[in-house]
Amino acid sequence: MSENEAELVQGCMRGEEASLRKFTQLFQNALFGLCYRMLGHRQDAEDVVQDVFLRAFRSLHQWDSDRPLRPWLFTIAVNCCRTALTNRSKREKPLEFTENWQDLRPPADPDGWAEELQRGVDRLREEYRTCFTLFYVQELSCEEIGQIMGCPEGTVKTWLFRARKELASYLRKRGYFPADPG
Amino acid sequence: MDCQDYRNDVIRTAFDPEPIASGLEPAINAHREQCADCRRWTDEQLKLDRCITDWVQQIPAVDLTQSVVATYLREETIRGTSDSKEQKFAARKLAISRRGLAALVATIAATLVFAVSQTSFELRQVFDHSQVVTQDHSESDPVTSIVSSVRNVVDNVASTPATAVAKLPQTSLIPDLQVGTLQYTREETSTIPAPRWANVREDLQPLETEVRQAFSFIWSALPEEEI
Repeated sequence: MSENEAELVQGCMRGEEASLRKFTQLFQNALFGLCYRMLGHRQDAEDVVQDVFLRAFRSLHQWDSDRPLRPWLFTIAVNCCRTALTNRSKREKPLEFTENWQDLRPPADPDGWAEELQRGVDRLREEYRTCFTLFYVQELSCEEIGQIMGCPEGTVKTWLFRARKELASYLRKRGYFPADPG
Repeated sequence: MDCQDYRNDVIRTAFDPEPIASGLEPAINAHREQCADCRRWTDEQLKLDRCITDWVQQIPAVDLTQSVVATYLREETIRGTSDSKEQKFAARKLAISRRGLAALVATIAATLVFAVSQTSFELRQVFDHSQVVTQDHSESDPVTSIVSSVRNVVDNVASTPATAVAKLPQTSLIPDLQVGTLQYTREETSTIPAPRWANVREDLQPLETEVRQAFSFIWSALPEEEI
């Protein structure tokens, strides 16, 4: 961890508003990207990111200063997203249109495929979704993802492999690829 | 290398450089050259990569600084207030528990005083009664043995002088004694020691000290405003 980050953390622990602001500005986009892609919903992601920062500020005294700050924050974010997804699954029933997703038309514009991919990501198992998002959105290595998710590196590779395979299969069914190569 | 191996190895290269590093690249390339299905499949994977890139790039930027910091500072303020309330509550709770402890100590001390004084009184009665019995039946050996055993018990409470059970002279066969009140009226009784009140008081002296200490503790434990 750099000197600046150490000072920043100390300032946050003292409750200095300037340090808190700087800390939030430094990590908010990375955390929001992770939460947004894991939850697939902007408002939910904003709520979870705010919760992540509040938890982080309250727990900064527990943070091991020998370890990098970023993965520690991602660990909190992943846990918060898991909780939010669990609560959501308890709260909501699957919508009709998501049940009959195969009847939907493929997106006409190229940008629409990203949204289609998000629908595919939303269908992934939670572990696949988490490591897929950490790998592609946060560009973390398999080793770092393993540390955050508390599993071996080999497991992360397997999950990434399966996530990618399932997404390709989903997009193929949605007509993203011109023809089925078999 | 068959198609399945080729596809597995190609996907793995996306997040693990090992297949390339371990010399698999020529085999992968060779299979792609000769298999049309796998070429199409490879194109799909490249397209998927582009889709993922778009997916990552479409994440909107946010600025949550104001709401995060304001919420945190507000929570800290509330927590600080509740902490001071908790401290007051804990102090009050401590004072209450001290008061309870003091009351308990006082009750125990009072009970102890009462019990000891009661026991001393009863023992004194037994002692006095034994004297009367001895005086009445001084010739009886069994009675003497009972009296001596009672005297042993009494000795533990109040050290009894050897003369305490002084017998009346043989000549004085008419007892001027009233059992229970123990009134000595004859001249011969001058050798019998005075009643044991002094001894009892002496025995109670340590207890009195303890009671004093208990009450001084109670006073020290009570908060000033309570006093």
